[in-house]
Amino acid sequence: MRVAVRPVPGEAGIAGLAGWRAALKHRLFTRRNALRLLSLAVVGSVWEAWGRGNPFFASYPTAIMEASARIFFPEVLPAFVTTVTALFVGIAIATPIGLAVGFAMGRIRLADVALTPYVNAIYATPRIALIPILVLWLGIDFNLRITIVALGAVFPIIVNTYAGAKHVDPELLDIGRAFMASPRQALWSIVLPSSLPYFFAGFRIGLGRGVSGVIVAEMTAALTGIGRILISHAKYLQTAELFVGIVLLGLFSLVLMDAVTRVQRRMTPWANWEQAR
Amino acid sequence: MTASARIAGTPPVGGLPGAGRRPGFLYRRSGMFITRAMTLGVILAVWEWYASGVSIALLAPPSKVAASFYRLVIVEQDLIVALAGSVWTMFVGLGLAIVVGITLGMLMGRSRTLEAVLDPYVLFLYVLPSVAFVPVLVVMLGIDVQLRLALVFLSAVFPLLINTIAGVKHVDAELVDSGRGFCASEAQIIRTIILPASLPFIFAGIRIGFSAAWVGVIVAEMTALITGVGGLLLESASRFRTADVFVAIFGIMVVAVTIQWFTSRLEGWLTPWSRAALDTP
Repeated sequence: MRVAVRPVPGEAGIAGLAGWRAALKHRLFTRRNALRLLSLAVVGSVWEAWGRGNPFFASYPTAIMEASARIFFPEVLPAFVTTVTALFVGIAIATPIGLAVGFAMGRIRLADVALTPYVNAIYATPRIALIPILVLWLGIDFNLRITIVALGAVFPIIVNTYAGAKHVDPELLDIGRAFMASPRQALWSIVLPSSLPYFFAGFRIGLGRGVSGVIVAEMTAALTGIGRILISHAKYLQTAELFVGIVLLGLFSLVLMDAVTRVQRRMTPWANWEQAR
Repeated sequence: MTASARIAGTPPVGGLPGAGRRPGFLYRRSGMFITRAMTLGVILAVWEWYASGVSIALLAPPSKVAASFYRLVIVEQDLIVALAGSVWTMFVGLGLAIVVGITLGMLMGRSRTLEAVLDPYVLFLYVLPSVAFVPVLVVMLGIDVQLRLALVFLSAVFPLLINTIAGVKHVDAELVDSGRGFCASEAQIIRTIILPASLPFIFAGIRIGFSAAWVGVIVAEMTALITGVGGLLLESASRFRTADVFVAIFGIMVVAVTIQWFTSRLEGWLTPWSRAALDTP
């Protein structure tokens, strides 16, 4: 077992996805996939039978399909675009900042000593706690949502990049020195590549936090996007429409995480990603 | 574990460069303390100066926050009462999540059938942001104390489950084989090989689940039922009492940091054999 790469917050990742993809690539009709289909069919029909009796309480699959056919294009898709825009803008702001601060903390001792307590404290704090004060400062507009996303995403990126930049294998640095690498060369060819897997671990967590951040902001303050879909349909007990939003959100998160795994594999082939086996 | 992984963590022969000399200012305990105290001083001073120029309804200066802290913690003890309620809910929900998560995770890790039957749901619910559960739970459970508990459970159980499965699958197959070679039963294999070998992963799951549980409490308190420390925060914000808002945020932060500190220590105390794996990245 190689322990060379172990992202700090120790998330197992979504190991299943990689397995699914491998299964799709090689053989579609495996015993495992048959079991999965069977399980989905059984759960779906039990839900259907039970949900028809309690449509407000739990809804049921055919009602959800019917509702999605009805509201997907007029209502859900624009909301989804709103949410995703805020998410991507927030992530685009958070990533360079997180990388820069994380690197500075990992390589500059003063930044490490001075900033670590604050980074750790804010990293641990639930972002939703900051929403009321941010509403006072920023209003409930686009700015609020991108700020929440950026705040959620930037700290995991900082913490993980920091760990990566700090814990570079000293042997590699020694070898670099033995081959007369300048500090700049060592930074570009040793420190940066060896902390990239950590950055990805942080980025993945940050992305997850960004998604939940934008949904929380939309549910509690901004009342737009997918968050509004969830809240407003729950309010009127339109459970089927509520599930349309939830299923879309779940599928979107799955696709997003899978995309990160793909990029990660392509960009850091040297990292031994056991977890994504 | 290969030998190279272990060697990588050890300092090079002859000690680290400069090992004989006195460590630099920023590497000494006193130096770190002075640096941090100065940073804190600068931050508070800038905050105080900046806040004096804006309305107190937008940003309370640190002095007002300190006064409010004294009132909410020592005099009226609102914060203590609110935190106690929230933390209690978190522990109950987390306890449930640990029991269910580890048990189900062990079963799913050992049985490929059960894994195939359950993993579509586990995966979907794991990646779904736990806030999205709130409206469904409100419809199903109403705005009740149960809602808080259910959200805590749902926030904490999936990271635990995923990590336990990963841990069980990660166990060195040779260890299991040698257990089989000595005629160990499945129960013995789980107790003496699988459980200890997957504990580092389980602890990583507990650490994430613990933090997620606290987030779950606050989310429930701020989105559905206005109680506890989340409710205190929301009420103070709606009355523009920013000093109280900061005190509530501070309380939430203290609990969150304590959880992180405690779980990272716990991991080291209970699974010393994993420390090498965790500390040598």
